[in-house]
Amino acid sequence: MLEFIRKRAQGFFAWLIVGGIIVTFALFGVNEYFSGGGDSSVAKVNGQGISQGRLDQAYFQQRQRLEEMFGGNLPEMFTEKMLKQQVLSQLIAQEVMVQAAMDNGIRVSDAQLATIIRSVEAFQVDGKFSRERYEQLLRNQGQTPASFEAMVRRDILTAQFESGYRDTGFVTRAEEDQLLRLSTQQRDFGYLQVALAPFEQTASVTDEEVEQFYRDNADRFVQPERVRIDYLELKADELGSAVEVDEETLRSRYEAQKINYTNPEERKASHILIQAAEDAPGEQVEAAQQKAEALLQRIRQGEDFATLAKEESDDTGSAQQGGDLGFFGRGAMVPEFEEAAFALGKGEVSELVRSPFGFHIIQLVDVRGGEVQPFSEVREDIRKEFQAEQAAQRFYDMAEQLANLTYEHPDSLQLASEELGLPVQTSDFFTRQGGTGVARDSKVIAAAFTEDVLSRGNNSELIELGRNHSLVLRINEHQPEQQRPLEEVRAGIVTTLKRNKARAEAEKLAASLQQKVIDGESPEKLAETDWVSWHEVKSHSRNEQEVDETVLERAFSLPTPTEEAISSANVALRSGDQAVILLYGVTDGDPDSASEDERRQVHEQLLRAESDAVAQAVMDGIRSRMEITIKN
Amino acid sequence: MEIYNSEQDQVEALKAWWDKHGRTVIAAIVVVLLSVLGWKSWQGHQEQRAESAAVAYQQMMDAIAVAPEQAMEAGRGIVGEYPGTTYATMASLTMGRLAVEQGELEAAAAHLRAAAGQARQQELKLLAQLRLSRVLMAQGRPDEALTQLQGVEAGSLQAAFDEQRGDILLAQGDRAGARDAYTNAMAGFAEIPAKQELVQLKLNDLAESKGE
Repeated sequence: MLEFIRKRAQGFFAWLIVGGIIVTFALFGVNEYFSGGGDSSVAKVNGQGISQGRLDQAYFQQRQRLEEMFGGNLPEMFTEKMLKQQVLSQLIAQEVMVQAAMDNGIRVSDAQLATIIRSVEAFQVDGKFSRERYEQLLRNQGQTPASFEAMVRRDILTAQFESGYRDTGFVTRAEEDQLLRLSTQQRDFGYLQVALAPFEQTASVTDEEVEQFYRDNADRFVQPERVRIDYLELKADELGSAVEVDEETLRSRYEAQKINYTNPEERKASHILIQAAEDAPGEQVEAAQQKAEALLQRIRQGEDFATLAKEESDDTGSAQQGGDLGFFGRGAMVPEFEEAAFALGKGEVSELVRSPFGFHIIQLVDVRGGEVQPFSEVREDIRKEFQAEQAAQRFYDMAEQLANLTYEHPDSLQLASEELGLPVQTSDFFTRQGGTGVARDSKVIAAAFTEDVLSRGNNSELIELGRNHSLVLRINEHQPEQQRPLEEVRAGIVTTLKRNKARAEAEKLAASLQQKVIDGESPEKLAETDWVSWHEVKSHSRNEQEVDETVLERAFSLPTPTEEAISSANVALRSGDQAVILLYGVTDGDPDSASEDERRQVHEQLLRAESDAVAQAVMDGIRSRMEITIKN
Repeated sequence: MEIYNSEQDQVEALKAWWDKHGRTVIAAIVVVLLSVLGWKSWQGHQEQRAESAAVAYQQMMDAIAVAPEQAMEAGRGIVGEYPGTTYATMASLTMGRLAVEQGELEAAAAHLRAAAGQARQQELKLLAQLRLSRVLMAQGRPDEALTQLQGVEAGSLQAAFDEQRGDILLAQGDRAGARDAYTNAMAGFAEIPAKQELVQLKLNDLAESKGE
């Protein structure tokens, strides 16, 4: 090959090869040769991969949304597998639309992107876009501006393309009229109702029929495999009440934790500051100190603190208020200041206090808080806390014992029961689908049907049902799947058979009534028995409620009657009764007399339907031309 | 294959080759580079045009609800300045909608005809044809409306085409034909409940008398 190239590397071929190489590099860039790497995509749309990372992130976000919707707890029906599948198909749909939009020349300029991001309120401070806030919010979400901007760009891209077919739909007046004629159509009809109950009462069923039905429907009478369990249940709540509490213990706890029952003390002080920074030259500090001492002197001689503060304090903020600093707790002031302020009695004035700011003269104005709640007030809280602690400790010990005892004696709960004073309880029967009481818990169900417990008859491990709630179980009785005996289900079969027979009779009667009406007999006359009634409904629209739903639906889908042929139907109602419906007349609605409101509703209904249909059709069409592969 | 006796010979041969072909090589490189650059700048130009069309399109969509006249104006601008682009198709579709809303069916038909004529995206083209047919129906011209649908491979819009065909046939008095068309539409709309409800309504009204 090389030899061939060298021979021919002259003239026309040379140019072709050189040119080809140049074009390749110029057009496609070198980066594509380096970015290949390992392929971790979970799906591909026209060769463009959707990475595992993107799926995980989208899944995580979707999960969070759902959890918020359901108040923190995701119902079990949302399995990870299902959610991931759902999220993946959304990602694929999005990728399809992005590619379609790009292929069709839809673009988003950087300026457009910027305008949209800047208009997002969450990124604004005081009504203006803040770059800092933007970057911080993204960081909190684990995103970079680049990845976020790419995402927004995709969103705009697809939104623009979608608007091209979703927001360009319309409804013509002719279409509104057509729907109004139908939706406000009125129909005159009546129906003969044949009651089921009388036929049920007279129906008789033989033993042979019951046995026949039992044999023919054997699979309906299968009792699935089920178990009943014995169990020892340990609950910290119940242990708590058994804990002995003596007054001595409570009181000593109170004494030990007094700080917890004390309202924090706060002090209100005023001060005068003569500034002198720590690193100020010596003479300045001295001057400040002398000035402060002079002021202290004047205060001691009875001059008004507030007036002096106003005139002399270097702390301009508080000086306006006569030096008042308001209430503050411990930890709010510099240590030197705090120490002095918390050592003063009410109304007292301190000596000079040196802080990093300078020299302070402090007057304590008021003290609040610091009261200790009396024992009687908090005794109940302490008792509960104590009992809960003791119960938790006791629970922990007992759970360990329970686990050990039931493990060491795997063929009975008796010993552990006696040792720990826990009664052996017995559940109702339950299947692998669960049952009532403790058998509702999926961990209990799973444990009861493990091989070790079910086949070998051993005790289960200690099952933690929740915080401070555990249980050990063993099988009390195991019933494999079995045919239920005929006697047990006979009553149900008889009812079913009677009902079926009655239905057939009612249907037969209804059919003969229908024929009679078609032959010209009056329905009123035909209703002159106890079990057939006649109902006439005049000018009824399809949305009114009074008529039986099934009758109404059928009356509005019957063909329009003609001169020669009456229009009728024989239907079974939900109650089991049978009805013969007779349609007399159809009057189309008049679009011109429709109210504004009615017309608007119809308009919106049509628009929505069109938009739904078009969105689906465009998506389907585009997808059908793309190659989509999903890795499993 | 030529055999060179030494490095020296090889260099000599190369030099001779270069003297003979050097200019052509340089000329070729220049030509290739120029055409690559030209192609790239053409591409860049197209991208820029698409981006400014995007801005104009966005302005039109934003104006629809608040100032339809202005949206119309913007739409005409897009069609005039960016012919042959998907933006022009979408602008024509938008103007079709606006004209229908203003009761100007003749103008609507013209816009939709333009959209159908120049659309390159398959579904948008079908959509324009379907909507044109609907406008023609609204104008009371079922025959022309039907012509629009004939011979069209409707692809994923088949159900919508079927429904429209049903409407037209019904207007022409062909109840049986309409019923068949609606029945097909019903099957095609299997995943669009809103459409199913509407088509079922039309179907029920066409129920055949067979004296149940």
